[in-house]
Amino acid sequence: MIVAGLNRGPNAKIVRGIDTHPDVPPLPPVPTGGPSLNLSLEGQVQNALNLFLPLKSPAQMPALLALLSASANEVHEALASLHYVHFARFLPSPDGSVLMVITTYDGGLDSYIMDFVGVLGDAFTEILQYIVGAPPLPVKRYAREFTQFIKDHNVSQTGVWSAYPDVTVIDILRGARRL
Amino acid sequence: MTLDLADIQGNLLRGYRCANARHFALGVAEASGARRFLAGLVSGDEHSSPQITSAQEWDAKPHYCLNLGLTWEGLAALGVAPAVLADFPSAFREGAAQRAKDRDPDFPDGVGLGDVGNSAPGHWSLGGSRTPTVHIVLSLYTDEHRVRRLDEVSARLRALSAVHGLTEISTHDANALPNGTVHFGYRDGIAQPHIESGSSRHFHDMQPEAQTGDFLLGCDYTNIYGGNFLGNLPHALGDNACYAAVRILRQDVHGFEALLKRWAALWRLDPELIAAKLVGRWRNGLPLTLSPEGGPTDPPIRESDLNNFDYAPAPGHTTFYDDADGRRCPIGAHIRRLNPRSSLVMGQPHSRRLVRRSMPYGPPFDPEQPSDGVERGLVGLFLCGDLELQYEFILRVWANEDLSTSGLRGTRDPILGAQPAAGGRFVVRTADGRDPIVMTGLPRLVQTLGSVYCLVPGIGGVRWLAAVSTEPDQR
Repeated sequence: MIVAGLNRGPNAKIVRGIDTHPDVPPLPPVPTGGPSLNLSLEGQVQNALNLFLPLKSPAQMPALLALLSASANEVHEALASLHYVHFARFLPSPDGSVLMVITTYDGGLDSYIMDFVGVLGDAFTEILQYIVGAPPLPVKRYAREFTQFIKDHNVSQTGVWSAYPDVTVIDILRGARRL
Repeated sequence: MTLDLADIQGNLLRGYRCANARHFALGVAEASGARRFLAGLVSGDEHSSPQITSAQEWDAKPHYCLNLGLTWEGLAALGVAPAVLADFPSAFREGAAQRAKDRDPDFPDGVGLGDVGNSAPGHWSLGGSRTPTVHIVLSLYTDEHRVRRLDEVSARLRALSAVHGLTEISTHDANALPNGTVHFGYRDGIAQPHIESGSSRHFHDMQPEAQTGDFLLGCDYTNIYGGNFLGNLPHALGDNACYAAVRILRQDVHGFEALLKRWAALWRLDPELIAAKLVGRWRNGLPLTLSPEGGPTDPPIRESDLNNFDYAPAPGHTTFYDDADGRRCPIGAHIRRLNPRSSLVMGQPHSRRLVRRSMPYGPPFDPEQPSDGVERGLVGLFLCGDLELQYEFILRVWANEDLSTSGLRGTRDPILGAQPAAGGRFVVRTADGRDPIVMTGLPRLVQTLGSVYCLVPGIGGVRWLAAVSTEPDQR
């Protein structure tokens, strides 16, 4: 099994050894869309991006987690540089079949998704090699396809509550004199 | 990196600083004729047709400059294959009038690009929902002492376009005002992005150079996101191309001057200070950040340093004054909202850059006759590598939304913003007990009267279009 290290160059490395295991049946379609229940608060500036990413094989989850662990500092640094992400975490399903990416961010997804590509495109190039139905890679070269993939795999949420619905990351960090 | 200046249209990399401009909006009636017309524009034979101006250096300024843009419908009318047309970004495919109707899904109650109300496409004289479809925009520039040249070259272009089956939908003239000002009285043309390897540095600038790929498609350029805006377009068409939003903007000069007087009386402030706070520069071009009080500075600010400032310390000027609270230049000031430089904003810094080529139309405003009923404004080309990520982002998010940084909540850009019916708000910080002053009742000062999205192809791209086959596979 190949564990890919993150390549921070303009063209992140494509690891050709990661393929769908021939014995693993295809997973059901990603459960995006469908009924949604909008419970967000009036004036809420925070939004959620919840990616549901089925793995090509659950057997590859340990390798993917090792990759995420190895790149954690770089990912954290990249997210901090954007000044619009409140929280982000990777959540593996217990059976190892799905990686969920859970984030809370300010503003509009369309408006800022390319900033995400700019600082995390190489990281996602590595991650998406484990994922069923991944867009063409590397991400930075196929940014348009990647952004469409992100929208398609953003699971509808059933309600969001926030203790501070109208406060942005910048507001918080400014208030704490951290910026 | 060395740019092929002979393959890049000249208006991206330099302002011509001409006195007159005429923009022709043309329609294609017959593809083969239109292709021959384009071929003539890049034939190198001045006798047969006026020639498109490239970015090549010149020893002597030419008698005219000419540039070309094509809409998505124009490319289709020329015979570009559907498979190629489908590979253009959605903003360009849909066009300015359609995009004006779109709303940010995360701001459904917002004003989108701000082209709402009497700025909506139904009111436009160019590119609107009630005007003929524009296929080609030709922009012709000449100098004042060669004013006849404008008509001479216009006559040649009109004759050639008629011969080749092009219809003249409309023309839009512009004329530089004395001292290089716009109708609101501010000196213009100071701040433009310096493009890596491309543009000369007339003004010093603390802002980093823009990457070539932020403005030019294809070749081996890289944009700030690490990619190339060419996408899947053929290199032969897209190399050294950029996009342009052609805009006609009416400016309410009387309303602006009345606003200054009203707020000056209400808040007991100098109207010129309010004018400076609204824009971020004094009307003579001095930036508030370098000259917060106006008037002479010690040492004097050199002409070449009018753009040499920032709103925050940053690499290269780590001890520069930190105006995080907008005490010198308001956070909501026009030039700060639309180019926040190193100040804290959501997203990557310095990632939304735009080259502005604009010229006023209409006679200078006469304060003695403020209600003369004469229309004034500017015709502008706003050039970039991606309309949605650069031009539209700046208008939609930075001008008309209020989350991008702290201190903007409940406000829109004071000059360009689509203010609410009850009037907008503008915040000025002061050193007295009134801090902050929240000025209200800000009217909409700029009305959109036209907008068209164009591809500005490289010279090779124009030749490709002139010779494009009618075969489905054009790659």
